[in-house]
Amino acid sequence: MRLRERLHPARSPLTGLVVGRLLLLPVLVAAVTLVMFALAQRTPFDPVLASLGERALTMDGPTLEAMRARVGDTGAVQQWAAWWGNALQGDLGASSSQRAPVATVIAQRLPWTLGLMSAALVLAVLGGVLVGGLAGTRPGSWADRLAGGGLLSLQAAPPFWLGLVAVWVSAVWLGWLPTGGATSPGSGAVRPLDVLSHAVLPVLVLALSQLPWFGLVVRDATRDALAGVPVRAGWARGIATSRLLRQHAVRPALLPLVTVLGVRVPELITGAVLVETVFSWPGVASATVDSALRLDFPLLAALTVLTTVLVVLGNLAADVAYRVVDPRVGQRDG
Amino acid sequence: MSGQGYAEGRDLGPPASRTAGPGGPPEGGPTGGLRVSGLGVALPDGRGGHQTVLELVDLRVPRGRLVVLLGPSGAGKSTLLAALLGLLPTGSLVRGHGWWEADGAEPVDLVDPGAAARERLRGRVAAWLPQAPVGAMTPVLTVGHHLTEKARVHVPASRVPAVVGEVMRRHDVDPAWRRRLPSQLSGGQAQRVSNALALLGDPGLVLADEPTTGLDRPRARAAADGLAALAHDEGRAVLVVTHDLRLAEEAADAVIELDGGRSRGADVPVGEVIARARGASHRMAPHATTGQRLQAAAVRPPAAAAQRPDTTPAGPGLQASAEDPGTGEGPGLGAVDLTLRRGRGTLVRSGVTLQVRPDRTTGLMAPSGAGKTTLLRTLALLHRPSEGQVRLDGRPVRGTGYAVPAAVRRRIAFVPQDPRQGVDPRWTLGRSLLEPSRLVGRTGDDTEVARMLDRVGLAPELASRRPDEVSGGQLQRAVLARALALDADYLLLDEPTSMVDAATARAVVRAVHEHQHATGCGVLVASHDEELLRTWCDVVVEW
Amino acid sequence: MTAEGWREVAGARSRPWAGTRRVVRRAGSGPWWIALGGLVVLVLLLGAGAADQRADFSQAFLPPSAEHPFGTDQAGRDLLTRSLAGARVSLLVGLVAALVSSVVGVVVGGLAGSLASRGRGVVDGALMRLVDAVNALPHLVLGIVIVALLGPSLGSVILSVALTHWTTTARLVRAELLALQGAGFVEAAVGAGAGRWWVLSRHLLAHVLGRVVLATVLMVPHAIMHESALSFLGLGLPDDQASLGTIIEQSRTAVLAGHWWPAVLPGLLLVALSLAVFALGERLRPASRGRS
Repeated sequence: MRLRERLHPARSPLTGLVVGRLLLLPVLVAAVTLVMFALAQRTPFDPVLASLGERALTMDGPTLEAMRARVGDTGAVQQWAAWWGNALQGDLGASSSQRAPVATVIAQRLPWTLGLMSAALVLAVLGGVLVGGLAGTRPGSWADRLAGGGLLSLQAAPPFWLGLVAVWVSAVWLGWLPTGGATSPGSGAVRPLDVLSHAVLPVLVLALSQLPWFGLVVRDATRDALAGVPVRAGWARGIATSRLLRQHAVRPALLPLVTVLGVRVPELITGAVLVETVFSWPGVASATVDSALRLDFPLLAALTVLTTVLVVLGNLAADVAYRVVDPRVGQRDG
Repeated sequence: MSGQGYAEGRDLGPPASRTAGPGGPPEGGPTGGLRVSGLGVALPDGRGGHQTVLELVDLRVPRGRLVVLLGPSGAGKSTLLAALLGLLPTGSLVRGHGWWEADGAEPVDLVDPGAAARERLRGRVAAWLPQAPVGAMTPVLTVGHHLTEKARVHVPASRVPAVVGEVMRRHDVDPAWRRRLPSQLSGGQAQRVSNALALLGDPGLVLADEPTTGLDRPRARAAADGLAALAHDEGRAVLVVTHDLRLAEEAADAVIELDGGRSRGADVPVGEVIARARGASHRMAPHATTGQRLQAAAVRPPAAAAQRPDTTPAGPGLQASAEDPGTGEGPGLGAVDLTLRRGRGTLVRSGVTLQVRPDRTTGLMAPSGAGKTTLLRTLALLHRPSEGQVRLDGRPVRGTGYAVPAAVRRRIAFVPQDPRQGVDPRWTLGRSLLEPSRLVGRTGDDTEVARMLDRVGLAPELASRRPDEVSGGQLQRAVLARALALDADYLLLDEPTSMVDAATARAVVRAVHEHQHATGCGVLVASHDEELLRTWCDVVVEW
Repeated sequence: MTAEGWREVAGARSRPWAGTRRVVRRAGSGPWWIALGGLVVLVLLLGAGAADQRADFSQAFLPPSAEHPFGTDQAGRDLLTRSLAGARVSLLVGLVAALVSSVVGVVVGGLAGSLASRGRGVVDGALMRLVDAVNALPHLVLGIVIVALLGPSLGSVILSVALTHWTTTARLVRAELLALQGAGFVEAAVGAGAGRWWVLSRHLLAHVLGRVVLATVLMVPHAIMHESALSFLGLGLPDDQASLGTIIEQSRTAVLAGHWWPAVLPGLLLVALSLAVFALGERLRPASRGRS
């Protein structure tokens, strides 16, 4: 009921927005892959493999050569069309680096990445709100300056470096936690406690690399809210200071935060790529790097499409959230 | 702290025994009230120094009375309220006191009670009715949240629902609004919620900031009645700060004027203060009217015609139509049946027809937000009307901005409301002032700039300053000087006196007036200040 | 507390919002930041002298000492010298990439902005959709794809950073142009008969360029980060042009063996470098901004 009330003033533009973006998505994905196929023609990559689909797995050398000769003449657009023809039927081709169908590789690895990313995101948001809220409600104090400097420095620290420092401190030096992988070698089964102990470092490092941005956003928004008329009016009404800070300064700052979560998807993916590589985490992000290094065109193409879709959906979620959740937008539109 | 003690010693102690003077509490009513004595406030100017906003303010607001503090924008009215509420910007300096006397209790200084006493006082003695009620509520919290939280300040948790229900009934707050956010309330609803919030807890002192801004006449009247009821029926001390003379006339038991940081008129009857305020406004010597000009033209017709070739020849019909601002025909800058939209198509106003006559001052009176600025920008050929025409001496003008020939653009000068936006922040005032003459190939010099500054009463030294190095009033006059330098046929002024003190306002009006005397240009003044328009303009159009 | 009895209200500095005014003093103005800024200059000067060092495996993995403040790496090379040279490479790549992306951004944004204000909304719309599209691609993944397709080299790293980062500048320039189109002083100039060229050359250019310079400087840390990530993933620069990312990448296995300095110390230098450039950008930010 409340949601509908809030939705109402912006209903038609919202639907238009969603439909527009969803229509743009296939166009964008098609364009990106076409550019990839065109560029790959002049590189050590072998886009022919991609256009063959999973058949490439079962072909022997000479057959493959023959096919390559035949398909190779057809040019980028035909290869691209063939790839899409196969992809739409569920055949994403065969990954040469992982020696398995691309669809299988993604199905096996995606859960690991999504788990890592969502756990890190939750931690980063909680930590960012805590640090940003504490700093923002004490503008100009030592705590504020310390938090500000710390967040800026953390933001300037590359995630892979944070990962290496974390490996050194808690795995090598203290010897507490495993330094890589998601399961202990030798144990075939996935045991929750084992996975958890492997996940602690990657999740923490990814969360730490994302936290500064959230912390700085919350700090600035809190400070803005604190400087506004509503806080003064609340103070003049006699509202207790602690409550004033929590409800009238930090809480308004959380709304913009929630609405910009989606925009952070690209940064989160960037962080995941680096963290998964450092910790040999068996997710899709590290597979992206592998596929690029080992000239595995079919996997790289499929993963690029996947990340593009993720980012577009993230941006869309941010725009929708911004209109639905932020009550001030409706007023501005009206 | 020694400063506090020093100040108290200087003020000869609290006025506990003083009885009410003229304008004191009614017989049998509650005693006590607010007594501001010798109050001064200096705000930090952002460059390490201070700017004195209030010099010396003395006023009394007894319980059961409504006192209006009159003054133009920027006179320091809101600063006075902020001082009493403890809301002055950090780093402000004060002197004097604002005593609050409750029945029989020791008076307390609302301006500087000390940190511990302030904690006990805030929210309990003085209620603030801010100028924009929606803007004073936290946008992400519901009305119910605001009310509950306020009730919790005064009563234990168990009694909160009852108290909230009671205050909502009393102030006509519909229970359905409890779940709404401030932005989902209409103006009137927000006002009622704001009142309920402010008066929950039964404060003895009510401080209202410009309560009629942006309201049309009937709603302004209702707001004034509501405030009067707070004083007369409920026995509170009500202090209203405003520049709205009509509000003072209708509701005030006493009127005090604030100008140049000092209060005047404490012991003078209301009518007299208002009459004085009206008279002091901006009355100018009558200037050459169109009628007189036409007489002169009858003697030497070729001169007048040569000077202004587009002017329709004089005729008997002209004088009659000159007094009527609504045709859009004949000589002048006219709006014909305009439909104005703002931004992405929000309708501002439709069917706007208006004529700015040469050598006439036309006033456009409308409340804030009625679309004055949009109309002026349309007439200045900066904004495209969605329907209708702008006519210059009867001929429709096509297009806006660059699409209009430069010579046509130069015939219309527009002075925007906010001067900060009006000059390039990187340029000195002198460079900005010379831009119009440079555009026609003349290279102006310092003497020309000095002359231009002098026309609006500014010192020649200002020429070398940048916009952020002068005050708002000085900048406003500099922007006006640049507009006058265009020597345009039509001068459009958007709220020319709303952001400046009384002295600057007078300087602005005088400069425009003299310019009109000299050039015979047509002037359009848009304002919500009825007094200004009535004393300045030949014709006033009311929206 | 002057002679006329002015005093500050007791407790005014403990109001919840009291600090919000003081904080106008922005990040990047303290003495620490100036010291950091000096570091950038130092890196540029000292890094120039670092020639290739001979590998000397008897000197491998010496911990930090007076002789080798950063210790030595797996090939016995002095890490401080190598890190400074790497920082110089990182900084140069960052600068060039930021410059290239700014040029692209100014062209696209300027075109979109000036066309939008002339009522050519179609071109503007198309350009902005292009910006949306590029923004919809995850930067690092796109960078990986570009470098993988073009082969690792200085040029392809710079290209991959520039191609993914020009959108910020494009948006900024377009927004600035559109905002200035409605600014009072531009309207005043137009009203006084100014033509497009007059407004562009006297008013718009100075404003937009100031912002672009600022955005370019602030993009440098971003570009450095991007380059170092690519190098770390093995997609960046070859060993003879080692950037800080390359150096850290080469020490990954050393960390597992307990040799922390080859990874930690060059990384600290990278953090300091990014912060210093950021601080420099903050100092460039016009002081009048944010004043109402």
